[in-house]
Amino acid sequence: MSQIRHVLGISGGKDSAALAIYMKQRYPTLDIDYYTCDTGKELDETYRLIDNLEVYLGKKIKELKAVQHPDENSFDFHLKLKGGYLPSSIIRWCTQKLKLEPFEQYVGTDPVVSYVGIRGDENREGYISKKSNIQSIFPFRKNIWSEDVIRKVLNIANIERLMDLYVSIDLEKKSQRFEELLMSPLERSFTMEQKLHLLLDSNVKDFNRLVFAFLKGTNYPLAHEQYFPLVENDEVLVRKDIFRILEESGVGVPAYYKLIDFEVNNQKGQYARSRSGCYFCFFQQRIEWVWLYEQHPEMFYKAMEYEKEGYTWGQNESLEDLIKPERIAQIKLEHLKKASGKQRTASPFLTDILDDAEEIGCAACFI
Amino acid sequence: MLTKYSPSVHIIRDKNREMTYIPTHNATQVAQIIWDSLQQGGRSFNLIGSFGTGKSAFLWAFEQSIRGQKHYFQFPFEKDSKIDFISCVGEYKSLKSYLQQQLNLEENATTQDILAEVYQRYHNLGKGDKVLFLLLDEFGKFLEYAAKNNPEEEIYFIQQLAEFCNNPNHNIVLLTTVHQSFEAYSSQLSAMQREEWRKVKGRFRDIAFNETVEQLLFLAAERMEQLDLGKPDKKAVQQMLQLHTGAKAFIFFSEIRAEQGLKLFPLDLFSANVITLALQRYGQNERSLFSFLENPDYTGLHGYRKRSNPFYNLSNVYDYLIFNFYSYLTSQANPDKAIWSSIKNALDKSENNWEKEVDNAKKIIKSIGLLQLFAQHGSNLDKIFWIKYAQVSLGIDDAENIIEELEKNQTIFYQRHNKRFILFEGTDVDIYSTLEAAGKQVEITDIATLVEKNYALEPIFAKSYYYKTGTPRLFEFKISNYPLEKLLPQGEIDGFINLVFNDKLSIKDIVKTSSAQQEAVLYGFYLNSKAIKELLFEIERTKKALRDVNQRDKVALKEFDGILTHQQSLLNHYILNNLYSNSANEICWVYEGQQIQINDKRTFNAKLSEICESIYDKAPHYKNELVNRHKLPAPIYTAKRNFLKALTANWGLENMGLDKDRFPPEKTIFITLLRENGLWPDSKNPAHPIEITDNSTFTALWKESNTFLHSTRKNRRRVSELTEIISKRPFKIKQGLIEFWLPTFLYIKRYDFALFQKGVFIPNINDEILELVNKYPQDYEVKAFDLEGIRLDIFNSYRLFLNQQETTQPTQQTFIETIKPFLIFFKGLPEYAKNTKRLSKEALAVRGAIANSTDPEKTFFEDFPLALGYSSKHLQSKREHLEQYAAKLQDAIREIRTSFDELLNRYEAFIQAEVIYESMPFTEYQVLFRERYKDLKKHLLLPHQKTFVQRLYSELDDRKAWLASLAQSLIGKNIESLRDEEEVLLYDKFKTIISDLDSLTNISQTDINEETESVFQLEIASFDDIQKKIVRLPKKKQTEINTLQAHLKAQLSADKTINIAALIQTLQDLMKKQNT
Repeated sequence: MSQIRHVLGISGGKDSAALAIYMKQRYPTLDIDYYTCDTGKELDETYRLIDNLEVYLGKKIKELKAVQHPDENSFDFHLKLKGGYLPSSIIRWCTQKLKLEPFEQYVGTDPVVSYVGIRGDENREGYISKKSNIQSIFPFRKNIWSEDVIRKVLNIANIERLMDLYVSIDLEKKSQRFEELLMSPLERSFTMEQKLHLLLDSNVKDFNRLVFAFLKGTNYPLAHEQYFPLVENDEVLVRKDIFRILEESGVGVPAYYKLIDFEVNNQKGQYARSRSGCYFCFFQQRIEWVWLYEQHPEMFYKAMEYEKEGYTWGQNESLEDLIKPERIAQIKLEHLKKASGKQRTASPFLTDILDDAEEIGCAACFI
Repeated sequence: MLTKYSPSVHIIRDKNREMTYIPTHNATQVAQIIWDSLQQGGRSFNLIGSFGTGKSAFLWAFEQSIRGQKHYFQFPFEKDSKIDFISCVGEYKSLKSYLQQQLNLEENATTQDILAEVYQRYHNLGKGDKVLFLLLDEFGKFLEYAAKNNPEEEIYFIQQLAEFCNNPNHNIVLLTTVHQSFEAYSSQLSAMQREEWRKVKGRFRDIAFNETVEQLLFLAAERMEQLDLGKPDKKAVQQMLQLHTGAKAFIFFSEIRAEQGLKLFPLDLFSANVITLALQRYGQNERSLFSFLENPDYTGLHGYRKRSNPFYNLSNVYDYLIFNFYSYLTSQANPDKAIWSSIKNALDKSENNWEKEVDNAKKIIKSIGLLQLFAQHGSNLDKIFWIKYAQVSLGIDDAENIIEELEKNQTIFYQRHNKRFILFEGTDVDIYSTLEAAGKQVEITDIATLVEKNYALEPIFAKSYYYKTGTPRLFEFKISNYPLEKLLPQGEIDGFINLVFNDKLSIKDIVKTSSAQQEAVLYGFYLNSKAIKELLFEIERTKKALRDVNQRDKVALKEFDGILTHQQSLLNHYILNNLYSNSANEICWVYEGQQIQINDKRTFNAKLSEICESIYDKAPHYKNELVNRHKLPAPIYTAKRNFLKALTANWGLENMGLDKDRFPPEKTIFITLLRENGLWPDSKNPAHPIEITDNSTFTALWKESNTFLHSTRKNRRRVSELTEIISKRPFKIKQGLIEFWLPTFLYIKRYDFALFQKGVFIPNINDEILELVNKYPQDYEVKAFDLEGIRLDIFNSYRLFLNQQETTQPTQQTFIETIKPFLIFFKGLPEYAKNTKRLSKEALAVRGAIANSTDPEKTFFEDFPLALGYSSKHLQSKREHLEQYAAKLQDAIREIRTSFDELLNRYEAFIQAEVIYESMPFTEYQVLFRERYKDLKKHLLLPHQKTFVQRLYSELDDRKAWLASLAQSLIGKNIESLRDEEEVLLYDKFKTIISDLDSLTNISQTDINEETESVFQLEIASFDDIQKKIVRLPKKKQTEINTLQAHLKAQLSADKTINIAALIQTLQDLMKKQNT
C-alpha cells in the first residue's frame, strides 16, 4: 500500500486528459486521484470532456471549488472581492485563486505526487505548485523529474553520493560512458542541461533508478515509496501521440480543437481554439477571440460585459473594436498569412520572426 | 581560209594561228576609237565587255591588223613605222611579278626595273616612228588579286605603269580588257582604298565592248553567208519579212532589209532572234552563237531535216537548245525552267492526244513556247500569225485545225490582253527578267547576316563528353563577319561554333581572336566566302522576285520556289558539307589559337567533347538525364519536392528515411548525389562533419561552394551570386543539377550561416524555404558566421550570461538559442517597460537593439556593444573589457526588467510621502487606508470614486495587484501599459481622489494621529452653496506651510475685512479647482 497520494489534475485541456488515459493504461496499479478545478467560466466542451473521462476512467473526478458557496461563481466571486479588478498576464490572480489555492488546499499537508501532462516536445516547466509536499512528475517527457529534483541530483556537491549510489544499487547496464558522464563536473562548457541530456541519452531507466534512489534521503514525497513504476518509463510522447490517445480511447478530442473553415476575401482558411480554460482567457490570440465571437457569440458578449469598467482583455484593444467587420477580416487575413507559412510575417524583426505563441500559458489552466 | 572554229581566243597562243574573224560593227567602232584616241595622245585603254563578247578575239584581230597581216580594221600607219607587241594574259597573281617573269627579269626586280625593261624594248625598235603595244587581256584577274592582296601596293604599280605609258613623248600603248568596270573590283575595299582605285581608273580611257543582239545576228548572217546552207526561197523570205514586221515580236531588224533576211537563211527571222537571245541567256554570247553556226549534229543548221522544214524554224531551235543545253535548261539554276518544263509537259500531253499530225502539233507547241519566252510584250501573235508562220516556216499547211484542237484540249490558250497564245500550263511572268530586275534591287554587303537568315543551324551536342560525364553540352552556331570575341555561354548553351565569313580576313586574324578567347568557342573560317556571297545574292534576288510576283500566279510561285530550294540546298552544300569536310581549302578550324584538323562529322564532334573537357574541367560527373539538364522535366518536380522534404525532415537517417526496398527518383538522386559523394552523415557517427569523398568529381564544386560561403563572413552575399559562379566556366553546372545542388549544399551547411530573405532573418531552413531559394536566389542572402578569436569570446559571454553552455563552434541553432531569451525577455515585458524612456541611455539602447534586431550576429557583435558604448575593436583589445561589458549588459537588462517594478515603487513611495506621510510595509498602509475611510459617506460617492473605494477594500492581498487595481480605477487603464507622461497624471488623480474622499469622511479624533498629522475641516457657506473640505497634512510639512504663510501675510492690506474676503475667495477658488 502506497504511503503517499497520487493526484492528477484535469484542466480540461487535451494533454491532461490524455495523461489520465495514459496513466490508467500504462500504470493501472497506481491509485490516482483525479481532480479538476472549475472556474465556472469554461466552455461546454470542457465539461463534456470531463464527463467522458469519468466514464473512461470509471472513477469520479473530484471537482474542487474555489468558493464553497453554492450560488457563487468562483471567478465572479473573486472578481468582486478584487473590487472588479480583472486579472492580466502580470497580475494573474485567477490562476492563483481558482486553480492553485484550491489544489493546495485539497492536498493539505499530505505528501503527494502530482502528475503533469507537459509533453515531450515542449520545453517548459509550467506554472506548478512549489509546495514541498507536492512533487511533480512529467510522464510524457524523457526527463520525468522536475527541475528542482534534477538541480539537486546533479549538484556538484552530490557527485560523490551519486557515485556511491551508482555502485551500490542494481542497474540495468553499467557502462563506462554513463559513469564518466556522471562524474563529469559542471562547468561553463558543460551545463547541467547538457549533462542531463547526455545521461538520459545514455540510459533513461538507469538514470531514473539513480534519481529515485537519491530521493530516499530527501524530504520529497517519493522518499516514502519503496517502488515507483515510472522509473521504468522511457517513453516520450509528443503532440500527435496526444491526439491518438484521445481518439483511440474513445474519449475524443475536445471539439474546440477541431478546425473550422472560414472564408475571407475569397480566401479559405481554418481556425480553432488552441487552449482550454476560461472562454475569456487573456492569453488567447486574436483569431481565437474571433473564433469565440463567431462560434460562441453568447460567450463573447459575456466577455464583453467585463470590459464595461474600462478594462480590456487584450492589449490596447477592446472586444468591441475587435469585432468590427473590417477588423475581423484583417485578423483572419493575418492568420491566413501566418498559417500559410510561406509569406512569413512581413516584419523583419526577430521579435516577430522567432515568436512561439505556444510557449505562453501555464500548466494549471491549459494542460 | 577557215580553219577549225575555236570558241575562245588566247592572244599569246593564237598569235600566229590562222583564224576566221568577222569584224563586227562594234569591233570596227572600237578599233576606230582607239586609233582616234592614239592620234590625240591617248595611251592607256580599258576595254570593258562581258564574257564571250569577243574581246580577246578583238585583241587578236587588232594585233593582226596593226601588224598589217590582216585587214580587219584600217590603221593608216606610216609605211616604215616600227611596231611591236608585248602580250599578256591575266592570271590571279600580282601584275608586277607577272611582268617580272614575262620580261625575263629577276624576282626582286623593282618597278623601275620593269618600266626600264619595257622602255628598252620600245627603244630597241630603233629610230623613226615606232609604237609598242602592251596588251593585257583578262586584266581583271590582276585586279581581283590586287583587291585581296596588298591593294595599296598593287594599285600603285598599276598607276605607275599607266602613267609611264601615258607619257606623250613616246608611243607605248597599254590596252587592257576587263569584264566589269574598274571600280567594281574595288567594292570590298575601304573607302580610302576605293578612292585610290578611282584615281588610277582615271589614267585609263574606258571603252565599252559589248555586242548587241543585232550585232550578233549580223555576225551570224555574215558567217552564214560564208557557209553554204542552201538557197533561200525568195518569196518565202519575203513573206517572213512581212510576218516579222506585223508581229512586232522583236525590236531588232525593225527595218530589216530583204538581203539580210536572205543572208540569214535558213534561219527565219523569228528563229534567228530566238537562238541569239537564247544563246546569250543560256550560253556564252558570241562564242555559243558561233558554236551553233558550226554545229554539225542533226539539230544544227547543217543537219536539220530540211524536207519537212522550209526554214530552220522555232521548233528546230527548240530541238537544238534541248540537245545542247539540256542539263542547264532542266536544272533549278535555270530561271526559265518553268516554261521549259511546261513545253515539255505540253509535248508529252500531245503524244497522248494526237494520233495523226502529232509532229505538227509538237512543232507548233515548241514554237509557241519559245515565243512565250522570248517575244517582247506588245507583240501580236494571234491565230492568223501562227497559221501563217506554220505555213511559211514550219511547213504545215493547215495549222488552223491543229491550233483549235490544241486550244480545245487545253494545251494552249489565247491571252486576249497580250494578243498571244501561251502554253496552258505556263505563266506570263518572265522568270529570267523578273530575277534580273529583282537582282538590281538586292545588294549583298553582309554575308554573315544573310547566312544566318538562311540558316537555322541546330546547336550541336557533344556526344562523347555526355557519355563520359552525364552533362549535356550544346554548342550554338554563331555566324559573323568577324570572329566574335565577347561570347558567354549561358543557360542551355555551353559553347559556340563561330562561323566567320569574310574574304578580307586571313586565318591569322582568326587565330588572334581565338588565342584570346577563354570560353568554349570553336572558330570556323570559311575560305570560300566569295562563292557563298554570290549564291546568297541569287537567293536574295529569288526571294525578292518571289515577293514581287503576282501571288496568284501559282506557276511562277512554284518556279521561284523551286529555284530557291535549289539555291538553298546548294548553299547548304557549301556551308554544311564544308563544315565537316577535311578539305583545307574550304574551311579552316581554329581553337585556342591553333588551327585544327577536322576530318569528318565524328572528329568534329569529338573535338567539341575535348573542348568541354578542357573548359569545364571542374564540372562534376553526374549521370542522371532527368536531373543533369537545363530544364527539369515536369515529372522530376515531384521528385525534387520529395527529395527536399526528405533531406530536411530525415537528415542523417539511413536512405534519407526513404523506403529501402523501393527506388523512386528522389532516392536515386539521394544515392548518386549525396551518399556516393560522402555528403550524407554516417548513421553511426551522425555528428561527424560532412566532408566530400576523396575521389568525388564533385570535389571542385564542393570547394567552390565552400569558398563562396566563407567569403560571406564579412558581408552578406546573395545566393544568386553562387549560382552565377557555378553556372559559368569552369563549372557551368546545368540549371537542373543546380536546383538539387544548391539546396543540398545550403542544407548541409545550414548551421554555419544565417539566411535572409530580402533582409529578413530566416530561423529555420525547411524544404519550402529551399524551394523558394531555388526559385528566387536573388532574394536570399547568406551570411556565414564570423566567430574567429575574440568574437567567439564575446558570443560565449552572452551564453554564460544566459546560463547556456559555452560553445566552440556556434551554429545557426546556437545563434537562435542565444538570441531567443533576449527576444522572449522583451516580449514578456509589460507594455510600460517596453516603452518607458525613464531608463539609462545604455538600457534604452539595449532594449532598442533587441526590439529592432533583424540579424542575431549583428545584434551580438555590433548593436549590443554599440548600445553599451563599446566597439568591437575595443572589446577585442583586453579581456577585462569583455568582463566589464558583460556586467554592463547585465545591468542594462536588469534595469529594463525592473523598470515596471520601479514604477510601482515610485508609485508606492508617492503614496507614502504624499498621502500617509510615512514609510511602512504594504500590509500596514493597506490597513491604514481602510481605517481612514471607514466612516466614508458612501452614498455620496461618484461612480469613479465608488470603484476606487471598492478597490481600496478589495481582498487583493498582493501589493502589486492592489496598487495596480487602484491605479486602474484612476486612469482607466492598466498600469502595465502606463505611458511616461501619464505617471504624473496618476499621482495628481490619486491626490485629488484622496482629498475628495477625505472631505466625504466624518473625522473623529481617534482616526487621526496628531503627532504626525494636522487636520482641518473647512466649510464655506454662501447663499447658494456650501463647500466643505477636510485638509490633512503631515506635520513634516509645517515648515513649508509657515514659509508660505509668512509670504502671504506680507501681502495683506491694512483692511482686515478685505483681507478675510480675499483669502476666503482664494480658498473658494482652490477648493473648486481641486474638485474638478
